[in-house]
Amino acid sequence: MAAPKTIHKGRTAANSLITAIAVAGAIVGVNIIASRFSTLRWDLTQDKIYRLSPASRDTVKNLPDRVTVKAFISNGLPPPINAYGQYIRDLLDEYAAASGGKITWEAIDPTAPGKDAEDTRNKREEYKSKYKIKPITLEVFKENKLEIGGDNFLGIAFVYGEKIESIPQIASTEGLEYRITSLLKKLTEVKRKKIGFASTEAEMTPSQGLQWFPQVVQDYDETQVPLDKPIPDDIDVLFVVGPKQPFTDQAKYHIDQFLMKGKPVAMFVDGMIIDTPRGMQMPGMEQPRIGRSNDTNLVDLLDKYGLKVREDLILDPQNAPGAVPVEGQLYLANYPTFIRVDEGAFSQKLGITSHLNGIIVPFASSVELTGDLKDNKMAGVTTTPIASSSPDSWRQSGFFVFNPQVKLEKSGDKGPFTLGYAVEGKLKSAYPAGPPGTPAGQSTPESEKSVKESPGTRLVVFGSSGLFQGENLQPVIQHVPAYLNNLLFFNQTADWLVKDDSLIALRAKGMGQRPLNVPVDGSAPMWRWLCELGLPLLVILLGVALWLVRSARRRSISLQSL
Amino acid sequence: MRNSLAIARREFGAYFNSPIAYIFIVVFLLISGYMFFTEITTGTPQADMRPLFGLSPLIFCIFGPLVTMGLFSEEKATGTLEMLLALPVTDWQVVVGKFTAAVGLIATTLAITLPYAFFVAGYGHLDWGPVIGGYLGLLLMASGYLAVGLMTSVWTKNQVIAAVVGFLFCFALFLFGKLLQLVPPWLAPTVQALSFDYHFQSIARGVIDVRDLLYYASLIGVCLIVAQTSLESRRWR
Repeated sequence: MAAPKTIHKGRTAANSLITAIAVAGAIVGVNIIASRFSTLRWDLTQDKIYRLSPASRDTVKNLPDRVTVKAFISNGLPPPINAYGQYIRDLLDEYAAASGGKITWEAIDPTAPGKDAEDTRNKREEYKSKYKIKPITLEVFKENKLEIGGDNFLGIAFVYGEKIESIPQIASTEGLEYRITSLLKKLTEVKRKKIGFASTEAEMTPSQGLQWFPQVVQDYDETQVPLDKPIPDDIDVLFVVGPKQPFTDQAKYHIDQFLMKGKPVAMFVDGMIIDTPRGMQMPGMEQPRIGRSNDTNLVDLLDKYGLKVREDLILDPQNAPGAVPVEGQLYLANYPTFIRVDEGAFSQKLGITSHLNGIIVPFASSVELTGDLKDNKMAGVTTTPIASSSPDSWRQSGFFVFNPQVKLEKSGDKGPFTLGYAVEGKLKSAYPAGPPGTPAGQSTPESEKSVKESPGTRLVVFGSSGLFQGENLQPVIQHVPAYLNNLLFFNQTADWLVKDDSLIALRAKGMGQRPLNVPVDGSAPMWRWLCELGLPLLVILLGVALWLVRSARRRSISLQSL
Repeated sequence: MRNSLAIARREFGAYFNSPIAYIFIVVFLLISGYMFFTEITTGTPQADMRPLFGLSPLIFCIFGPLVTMGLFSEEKATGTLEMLLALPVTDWQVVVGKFTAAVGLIATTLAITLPYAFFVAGYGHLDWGPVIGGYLGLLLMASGYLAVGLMTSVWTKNQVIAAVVGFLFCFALFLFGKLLQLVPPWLAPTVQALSFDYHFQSIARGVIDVRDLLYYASLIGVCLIVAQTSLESRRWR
């Protein structure tokens, strides 16, 4: 009798185990197949960060000719960059699908051996010299040791006829779609747009103060423009950033005439500057920093266009950390001079600020409308405030000593203050009589050449250059990523001025910072404590209440049974 | 299905009839609340839920096996499991019912942290996509830990042993994602594919990828099948 029972048990055991192993095997198999072939995913992010954006789709759809893409992805990349390899493959698939056959791509493993050693060496050399692909140095664990390995490749090259553009190394997928689309545009564009940086009156340029420009601004070429002669026609937009000396009449005339040709201009001008005057420098001691008006001699020029940068400094309790010098050292500290402009203080309809979540404006002056523009009498001209300080901000005017260790007293002149304006339309020349020095009522060959009214043009006047100044950004950008938005702001200003907003949404995609500003006063601390301690307390109270109800019920049942 | 739900309801009620659920929820809220609010009120925080999503995997790794340790071990020790299995329910229904109850407890705990998200949304520009993804990822990850804990609970009568063995399994899955730098390159992709962290990070970005869903579903499925098979083994031992 025992034998059949044992056989039955054995069969049951075998059936159970075989079923369990078969099901587990099938599950593993499904996973392996899915990991190789499935691309099904849902992007829940607000900006659809992980889906090809309309700007990229339009760019590849309108490519003039075929582009070949070579993705250099080493086999066996270590984590976490092996995940980037998969992301790149998926992304290139999407580009190819959206291009309608204009983009074809292939994956190449640069570490794969060739026919022989020489073939391998030649191929590698070709990847490096022709396609500019560089190996990525990574820490890898080899033979029980952590080693620095340089035989990993992750880069992309784009081939368009004879032209080749490449992303030599991909260390992060953040902003990769923008880089690819931007390179595709660059590759197929007949003429790239050029930014001219005024460089006569100690302004900031990419070689002085705006060193981040080559890394950050990929869609424009740049050049320096001395204003002692007319601005060349190949300049598409003029940037005047942080002048510290008075402009000559001649320089102002050249800016005016550039505008009158319908070319756009951006002026980031400080109403006040904070520095240590030469006569007050004391060796070996804390240098006093004095706030004083910044004489750029631009008042009359801007006044003709209906704008004024005031000689003030806007201070705001809604501020962000900035680089503050204390006893010769830079510290990261919140101070009212680092104005935090949040999304709500932007015009989202204006391309300059659309898709931006906020910027940090160090040492800002207010900008006002004057004359006909203020009275809305300048026909055909529209103005849009770009950004404002908070209602609690206040104005500091005149000479003062800037000392970050001293708390600043609020003045009676309260905000919000507009920090910049975007002007669009037909502007009248500030020099209707011709070049400076032309006698009134007389006609000279020069005055006849000068343009009196612009066709539709764009002008941006902003009361701070500090938001782009490398000196302000470099020490803090790692600790306060919200400063990265300032660089997006620069790009978007250029885009708006040259009327090319195709990349604005794409550039901001996944790159924009979302600063969280929890005030230390008001209702915020109450909500914090309600969440932090109130919720656990509520759970305890609920538990006690339920226990009491249960105990009462139990008692009543016991009494009934008695 | 109906039987599984009936068991789930009974087990879920049992959690809240004993101090287990309250202790678990209160301790979780105190730790996560303190860490979360400290992080979002110091330095230069961003309007997202990363402080919660960064910490919770470790908390669930520890608490998951503690929540499930008694599901079978206790019933085995007290003999009530035999009574339950004598009812007209299959082993699979019992396993699924108990697992569902534990998942319900975790889902309740996570739901109580939703005010954190509303707090962040009140003072910053919160992208709800990664928040939804993060919560879904946490629920799936926690469910994975619970499935592992439930599996080890079937193996022994001793609750402490069930919790310790469950924790070791869970911690290994947790560590896989953290120690990738130390793994030989040829093994790294496999270890990464097995790690909870890798799949959780992927979902928490706000992208629901079928591959990540399949991973968690598979892991949970395998653990529950092993639990059922272990339970069934009483018939052939």
